[in-house]
Amino acid sequence: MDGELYMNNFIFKKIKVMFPLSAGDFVTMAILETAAMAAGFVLIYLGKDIIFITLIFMLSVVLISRFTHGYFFGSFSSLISAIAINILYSEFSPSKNSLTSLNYLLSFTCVFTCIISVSIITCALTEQSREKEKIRIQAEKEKIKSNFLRAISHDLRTPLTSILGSNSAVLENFDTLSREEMIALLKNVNEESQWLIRMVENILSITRIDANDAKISKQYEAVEEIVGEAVQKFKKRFPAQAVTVKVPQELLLVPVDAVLIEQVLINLLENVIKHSGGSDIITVSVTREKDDAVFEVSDNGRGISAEVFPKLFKGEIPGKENNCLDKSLGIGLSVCMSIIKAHGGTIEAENRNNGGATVRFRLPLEGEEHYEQQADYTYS
Amino acid sequence: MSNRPTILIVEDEISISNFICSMLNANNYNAIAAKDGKSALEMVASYCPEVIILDLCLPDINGTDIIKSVREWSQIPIIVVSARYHEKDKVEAFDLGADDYITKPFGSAELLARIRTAIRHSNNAAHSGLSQDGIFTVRDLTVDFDKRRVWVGKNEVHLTQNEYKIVALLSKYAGRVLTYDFIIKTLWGPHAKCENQILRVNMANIRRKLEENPAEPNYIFTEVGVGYRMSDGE
Repeated sequence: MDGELYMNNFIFKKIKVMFPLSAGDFVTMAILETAAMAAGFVLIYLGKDIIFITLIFMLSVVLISRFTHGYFFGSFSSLISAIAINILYSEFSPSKNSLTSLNYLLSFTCVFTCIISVSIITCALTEQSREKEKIRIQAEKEKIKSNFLRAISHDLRTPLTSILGSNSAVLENFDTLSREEMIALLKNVNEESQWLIRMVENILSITRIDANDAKISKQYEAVEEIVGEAVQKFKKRFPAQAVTVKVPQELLLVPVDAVLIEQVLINLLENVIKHSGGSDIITVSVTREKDDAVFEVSDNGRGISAEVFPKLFKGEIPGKENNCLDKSLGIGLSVCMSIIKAHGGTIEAENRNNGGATVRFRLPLEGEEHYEQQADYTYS
Repeated sequence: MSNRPTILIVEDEISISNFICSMLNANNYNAIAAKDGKSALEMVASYCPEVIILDLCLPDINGTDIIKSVREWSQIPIIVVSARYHEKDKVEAFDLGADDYITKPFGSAELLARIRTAIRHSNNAAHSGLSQDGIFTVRDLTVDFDKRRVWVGKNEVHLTQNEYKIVALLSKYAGRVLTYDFIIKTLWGPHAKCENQILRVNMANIRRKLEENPAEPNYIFTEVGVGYRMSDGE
């Protein structure tokens, strides 16, 4: 059944490519053509001058060609205009009796050729400028992508340097290093590799959004399953950190890419470890507010400092110069941001009154309209 | 030497194969390595290893085909080790009969734990033959297959027919991930036109009956996008 649906979809898409028409095009054309006709008839009774009529129809054809897609509407309205002009001309022409069918055909061909040439030229120009716009957007996307890649490879270099350095220190000084020194170096390698792994997981999340034209494949998932697995994975990495979890008593199903939302939760939990300066307890809670599922990760650490706050979700790496903040803050949060945006949700952070911070994100429970929402890279 | 369990590593990357081999040898296993699918199938037949560690990306034969052809004649536990990230690869491997799935990169501790679990399972399966008789216990949870009753601590849990079937199925394969598809087919038959949703709702009810906090499960774990797993106490 899925296959059938897919086929139908596919055929529909093919037709759409061959005839890029939309309801909007029809409406545009209908409105313009009616306006032209009305204006034409009004003018006839005012001036009875064929020049005005021709000009009005010409203008309408140009406008239709400009504001619709493809060549179809331009040509179609040219035909209608040519017919209309000829009818009007033959009706109001002072010498209408002398008009033979050959004359009529000749004048029709003449008018039609003029109008359709204007229409085709306009269509061609319009298509050209649209094409240029497309290329510009494509180039913009490429630029953002390459910026993202540059930033990432910069961030990858640091741990790689440390791994390579520590490792070759052990390899080259195997006999002279003390056991403790060796273990310290190897531990270093281990930690940096762990960090690299998390980095790669985040990058993979981004590619998951991007793989299908910035669409994500959503399925109704139980929030307790997503939160449960995220917290379980987090606890494996940080067994000492206390975490409490609250989910609603009734089953809450949300349309999401569960792997991505899990990544968001893990990033937020790890941020508490790295940046809160130690929190006794982390609370993860999910509630339902009208048509949103609201996820919250709260801690009772030192909170988010005022200088970092405005830059939090902008993908900038705060405090890079004074090195007081961990290097992974930038990518972690901007990945969260991209994922939530792609789901049509919102994310925000606040400091709690009694110390600590809360990061909260909302996901719509009926997310179908946001299906094609663009995911963008916010890493700068 | 003869008492060491033999483990076959099928991996085309020499550096990864080397590190797994030396780690296994250091931990009292007898590691043997195959570089490609063809020699892997020959070695499975001639050595009859206790566990196979299989990389899905091999130069000659697709890893999934290896699972298929081994499963035709043997129940040797297969642990898939793969750099493929998407859940659907996992689901495919599980449905073909893989016992476990580790995504690269992984730590040695994790791999060793998975190997221990795999060996324990194959021993259990050999003894009990996966029959439904007897009693399954993990922590406070007890499932009595004969009486079709379930307890948490001293309190009996009242499950509906389908809920019991799911719990019993997961307990039978405790420690292994069962895919959504497998559970649905076992419960509602091979032609069941059942959406995952019904399974989800059943699972949510089970969780509320068995677990203290449904979001911090002790017994039934979720593998998002893949399936569910009953804890086996590890």
